[in-house]
Amino acid sequence: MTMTVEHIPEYVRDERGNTYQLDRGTPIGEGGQGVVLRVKRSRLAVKICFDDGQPSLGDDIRERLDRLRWLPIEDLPVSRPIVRLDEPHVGYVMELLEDMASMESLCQPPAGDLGPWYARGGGLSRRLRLLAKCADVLGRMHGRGIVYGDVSPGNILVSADPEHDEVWLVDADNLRVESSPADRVVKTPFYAAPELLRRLSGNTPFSDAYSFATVAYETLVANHPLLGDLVEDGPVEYQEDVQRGLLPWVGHSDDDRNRSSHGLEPGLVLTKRLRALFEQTFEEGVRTPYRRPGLHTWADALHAAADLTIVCPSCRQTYYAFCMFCPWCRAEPPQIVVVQAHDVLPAGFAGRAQHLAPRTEYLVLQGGQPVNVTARLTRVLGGDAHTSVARLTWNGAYDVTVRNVGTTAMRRVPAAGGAGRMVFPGSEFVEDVRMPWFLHFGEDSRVHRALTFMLPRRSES
Amino acid sequence: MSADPLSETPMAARQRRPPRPLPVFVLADISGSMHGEKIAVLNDSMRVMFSAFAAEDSPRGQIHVAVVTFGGDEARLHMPLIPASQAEWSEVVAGGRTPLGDALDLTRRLIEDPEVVPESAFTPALVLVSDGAPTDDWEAPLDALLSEGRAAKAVRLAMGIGSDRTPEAEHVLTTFATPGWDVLRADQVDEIARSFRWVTAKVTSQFRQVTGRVAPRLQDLDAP
Repeated sequence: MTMTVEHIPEYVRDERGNTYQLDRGTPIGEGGQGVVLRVKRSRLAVKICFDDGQPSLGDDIRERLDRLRWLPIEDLPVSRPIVRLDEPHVGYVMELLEDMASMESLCQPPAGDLGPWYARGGGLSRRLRLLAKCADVLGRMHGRGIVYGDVSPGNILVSADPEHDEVWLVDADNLRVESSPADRVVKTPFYAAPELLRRLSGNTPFSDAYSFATVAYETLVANHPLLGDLVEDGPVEYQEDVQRGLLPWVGHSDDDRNRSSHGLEPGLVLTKRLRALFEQTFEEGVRTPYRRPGLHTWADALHAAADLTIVCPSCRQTYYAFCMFCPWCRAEPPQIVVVQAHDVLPAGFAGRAQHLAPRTEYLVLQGGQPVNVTARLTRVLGGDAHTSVARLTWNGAYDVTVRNVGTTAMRRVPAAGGAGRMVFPGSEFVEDVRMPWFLHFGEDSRVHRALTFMLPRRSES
Repeated sequence: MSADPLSETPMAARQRRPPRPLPVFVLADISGSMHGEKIAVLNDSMRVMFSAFAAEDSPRGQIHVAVVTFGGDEARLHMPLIPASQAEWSEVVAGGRTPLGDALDLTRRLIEDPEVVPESAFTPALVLVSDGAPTDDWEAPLDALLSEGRAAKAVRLAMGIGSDRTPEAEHVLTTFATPGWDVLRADQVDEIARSFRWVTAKVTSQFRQVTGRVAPRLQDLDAP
């Protein structure tokens, strides 16, 4: 039986004989392989696979679901299949968190001005954070030797409420250890890596990285990285060519044939680091998959970018603190306090005395807006990078309230040195940004990180 | 004859170079909550501590000890800084509130006074002996103590008296202690001297260099 979106049944039955009533009005997600629908009055969803013309699709699904039982993904935000659908439908029932929407709502703008739509989705700041979390999940999978396979906006679910930023991946049946071109390759048009389209390779962590970069660019810039003026105004075949890597992407560093006159200004929604990662992916990485930045690199650059965003006091959009004015409404930027991370090298490590080497990693504080510092900034290695360790609130004048929200004590040390004092979990103190102390996250005998607060210089140059 | 004043001292009466002092300031809680058995433990502990310190005397260093008591309305210098071997403990009586902040202020002034702590002295050490719940603002005076001069580098030990200490009292003691150092119990009083042996070796090398504190310009935030 051939299934397309137009032929979604109202009721489906699983192998155990349970019947599910589907909410056909709003599919949660839609990928290359099928459609995901919410089950009415339940915390379940059903994925119905499209018939891809292979008679063995049902057996294939069964095999893929069996495989999922032994892949180590219990602790990852991936919705796992519970039970297979009964004939004639091919698919499965899966668990689902409430109030999740597909990433499509954040990367495929409706007609009209982009600004209000961008803001409704939580603006730049939330997009960066959601993408960072998604990259984290994929990076952890890759670290375990698992390939996701079909990274596309329809398979990434995010909190429907813009106040929250949870990320879930669906379509877990695509997970695999890797695949060869002989296997069934999974892909969604416009998100698949060129080597998949050319049937040179199966799904790999590198093809996941390419697909993720495409989703990330589309989400941030509101424009597909391959669909510039050359492709969209040219013959239809150009769409195939650009996906196979035969035409330049929109942001190519020295080939501007396919520039886009639509979407947001990339320079205002991407940091230098992010731009460099996109160039690496869509230029050198088009032909050389292993040259593409990995998912951990993406996660780090996206979190770092999110840490630099501020809220415009005038229009409430978010933008980077290094912009001279709000790119959305041209209002003056608010005052900020910069939190800088340092690597602390113990005495004897890089000289006789302890050495605090500043890193080019910053976190920006805005008056009255509490910000969580995560272990990403305060740990040298390992651990869960997303654990919150401190909550910072700047009063807009000279006081930053630091609350230890982590599970270990940190140390405050005066600029002049000394052993400092402990700040225990649950306690807080006030730091004066004119004469800030260093906030150490580790023992002096080991390499660790320290943070300090500074008012930025506003230079004319 | 030479004008050298030293030549006026007969050779037989010349002295060795006096050992470098290691000043130890004991901040002793004598507030009302210490009344009874606890103040007895304090009095005993002080005597044990003094003799343990005196036993550490060597040609290279000598522990000097001063006691600041706090109880009632204010802190006072109960015993000025003298070599531990000469120190004699005069018993204290408990009563009144717990002005720890005042004691920290007084200690800071003493440490900063070159008449009290000479330039040549080792980095001072502070010992807080308390059952813990201050009645005045002690956080700001502690910050002031840790911010400037010699006191910033002082090694801090905390000794808890009594087994009925509240979590809040425990917090005061652990906050006072040098990060990474556990709070000592009164029955570990001889541990204090052992800690100080380590301290003497360690404090002199405990210097810190701070580099690279330059406020970034806004455009520097977008680092490649």
